[in-house]
Amino acid sequence: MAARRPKNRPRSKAYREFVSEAEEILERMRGDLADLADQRAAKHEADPDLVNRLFRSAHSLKGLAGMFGLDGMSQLAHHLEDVLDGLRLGRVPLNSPAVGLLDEAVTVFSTLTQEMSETSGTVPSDGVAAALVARIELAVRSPADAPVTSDPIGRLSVDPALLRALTEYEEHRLRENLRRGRRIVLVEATFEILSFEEGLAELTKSVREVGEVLSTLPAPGDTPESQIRFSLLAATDLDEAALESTLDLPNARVRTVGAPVARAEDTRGPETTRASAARDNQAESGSAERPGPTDRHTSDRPSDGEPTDGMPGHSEHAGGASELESLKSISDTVRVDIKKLDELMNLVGELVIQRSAIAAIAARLCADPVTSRIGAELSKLHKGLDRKLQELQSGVLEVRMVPLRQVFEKLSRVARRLRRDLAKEVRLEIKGADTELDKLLVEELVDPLVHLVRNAFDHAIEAPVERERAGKSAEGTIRIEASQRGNHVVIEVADDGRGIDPAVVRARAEACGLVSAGEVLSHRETLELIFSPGLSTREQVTETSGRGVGMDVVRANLTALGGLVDVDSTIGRGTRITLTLPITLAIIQALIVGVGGQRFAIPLTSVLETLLVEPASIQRSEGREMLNLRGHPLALRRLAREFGLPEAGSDAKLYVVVLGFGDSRLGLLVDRLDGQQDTVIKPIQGPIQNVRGVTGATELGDQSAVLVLDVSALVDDAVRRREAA
Amino acid sequence: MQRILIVEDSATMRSLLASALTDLGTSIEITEAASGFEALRLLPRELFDLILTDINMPDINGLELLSFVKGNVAYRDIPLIIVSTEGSERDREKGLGLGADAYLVKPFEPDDLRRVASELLAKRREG
Repeated sequence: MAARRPKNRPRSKAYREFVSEAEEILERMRGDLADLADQRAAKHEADPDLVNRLFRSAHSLKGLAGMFGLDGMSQLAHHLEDVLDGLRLGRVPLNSPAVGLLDEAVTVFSTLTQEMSETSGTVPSDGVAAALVARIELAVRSPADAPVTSDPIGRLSVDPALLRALTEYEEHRLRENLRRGRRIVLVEATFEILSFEEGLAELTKSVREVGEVLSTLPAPGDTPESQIRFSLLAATDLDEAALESTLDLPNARVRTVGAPVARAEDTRGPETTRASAARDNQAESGSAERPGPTDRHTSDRPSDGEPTDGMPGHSEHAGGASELESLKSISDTVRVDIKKLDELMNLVGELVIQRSAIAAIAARLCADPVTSRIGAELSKLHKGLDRKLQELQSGVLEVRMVPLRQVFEKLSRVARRLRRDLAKEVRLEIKGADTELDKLLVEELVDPLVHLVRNAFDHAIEAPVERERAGKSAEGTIRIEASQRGNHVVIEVADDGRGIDPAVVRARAEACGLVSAGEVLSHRETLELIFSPGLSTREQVTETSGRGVGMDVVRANLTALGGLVDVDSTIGRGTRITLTLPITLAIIQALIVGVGGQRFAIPLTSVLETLLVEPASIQRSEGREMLNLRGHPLALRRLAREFGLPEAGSDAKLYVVVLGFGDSRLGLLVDRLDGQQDTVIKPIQGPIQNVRGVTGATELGDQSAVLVLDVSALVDDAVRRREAA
Repeated sequence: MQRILIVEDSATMRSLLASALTDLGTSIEITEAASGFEALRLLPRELFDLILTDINMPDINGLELLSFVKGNVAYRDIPLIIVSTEGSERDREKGLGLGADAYLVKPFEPDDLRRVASELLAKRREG
């Protein structure tokens, strides 16, 4: 159906210009469509300026494409323009499916343009564009026609998917049967997919004995892998009672979906006055013309007058329609439920643990001269298994990784809206959008990041006049930068606003009783107070310091993800908030340590080094234990003391596990190091789950369970304790 | 290797379609189904990369097959081309509305079929 056109066209500078201009327009449209989608989601009226701008963009695209003889693209742009024109003039409602197709149209247009630029001017084939054009046409037409049409098919209370799959001829048959006043029934039955034909043939045969089979629609059964469900749409002269006695089908469900004329009232939802008036007229004239069916309908009332039956059908209607809408996207990726990935990850984790058990057995067998040969074989096998498992593990992990881009795009949208609402000139700079992170973490980052951007807009960036007075450019800048550092991802949100005044924070903290008047705090410790819950209400800090709104929530969110948040700020120059979090929460390498009779797992990503120290080298200062680590003081904590476990003798050598999280360091004193293992952290249920410093539990190779330490909480507590001391 | 399923009740038309698509290259495997029912039975057994279907068939029609494919999470990402004698605008609209990726009218130009098919197969590969 696509219009024929020459396969190749002269490549020229002009094409490059077309491509670059089209890309510019498309970029603008993407932004505007994102805003439109927000309005649509919020069920607001469409902003007329926005729609008008979109319309003009489409118009320009159409003109450009037309100039270059790009028929497919020109057609697509023309349809885009049509929809937007309709929206602009109020002919197309904002919730029309056609509006939902605009995004896709822009994407298809972009792809075509990109193809052109990559092939330096080869005209892309426009099969996809043509298909989309047809869908837009369809989407524009159907909602406008539906309310005023007198088509009796629209009044049937069946899943619209079924009606959509009727061929023109089948539709004609259905209409004809309705016109004759026959009852329309839906017969549904589920069969095993491998042997459905026999059962279905039997069912079809029995239905044919009482009427005409109009359509047979297959659908996935309750267990879609092995079952298939068929919906037979049929027309019959029998009434419901007679039908039931004649059609004795144990496994099939029979439902009347339409008796003509008056039945229609039941299946219609509330509509505009004009439309329902028109319908009433139709219904009346219909009953006047057709005394026969109306009589019968009246006599059927007791069994047939079940408007509730029509209602679920009607709501299915809406659900079914939107579902179909989403199915239409031309996509060639497989969507996977994150839960399924979690299950896979868990399985891999369990395999990893069992592999460790095999390693332990192999080691035991090797150690004994009697079994050392078989032990060596097992250990060779184990090595092979280990390699493959690592590949599997990284494969599954990779699938979970998504770039931060989608979150950042959301932030741009938020920024765009804020720019408009607050009338502030702010530029949002984004770097490192390709940095990848576990999908679950990415989802959880949206709120804190939106919060930070909003804060920067709202409070940190000054009004243009104020900025100019301070010798800054009128336009403020918020810079968001993500980067990967080892097994962590660091995201910085920095602004060039007014900065946080530590004196104001301090005064506020004292007023709240968070710090006492005489207490000495470093600059950083003072700034960190903005994360304290007591300090986070708007009126308190906003005007003077420009910060403090819900920062405790940001910190809580990050901590829950095993991450940290830091702040740095200079008055008059700006503020930088740094979020540090692990790349994934799934499989981790852990260091197993022992204190007293207990073992604990520490995520290796947070372990900087381990040291063996003499008790004498531990120094005490102001009641805290410290270690001189190559000239720098390292705060120490005894793990045994944290959990109330018996401590090793005072002259015993101790191990120090140096933990690092963000810029903070902490030395954890333990009795033994028991090696490294791959572990899967599982959540704990019961009272232990509330114990601070514990993030979960894991199973070791010898199948014993140990607790996993929450390094961010331990480091955090140490910092706070230092502050408090 | 990419797999194409052709659903068409006319054997002549099936072989015409198959031979046109065979020219796409050696890495194509074609499976033929003579009816919608046969297609329903084949779908769970093999992972297809493209489906071609006629509309008017004796058991279930092509639109019903299409509705089944696009309404099923396991299959809905398989691109589907309707190849039909129906010149009817209504059926064309319905097909595209149900999520068909392309619609070709018989008699079709083998070149057109190859172009659309290879476009959809390439997209599927990239995905």
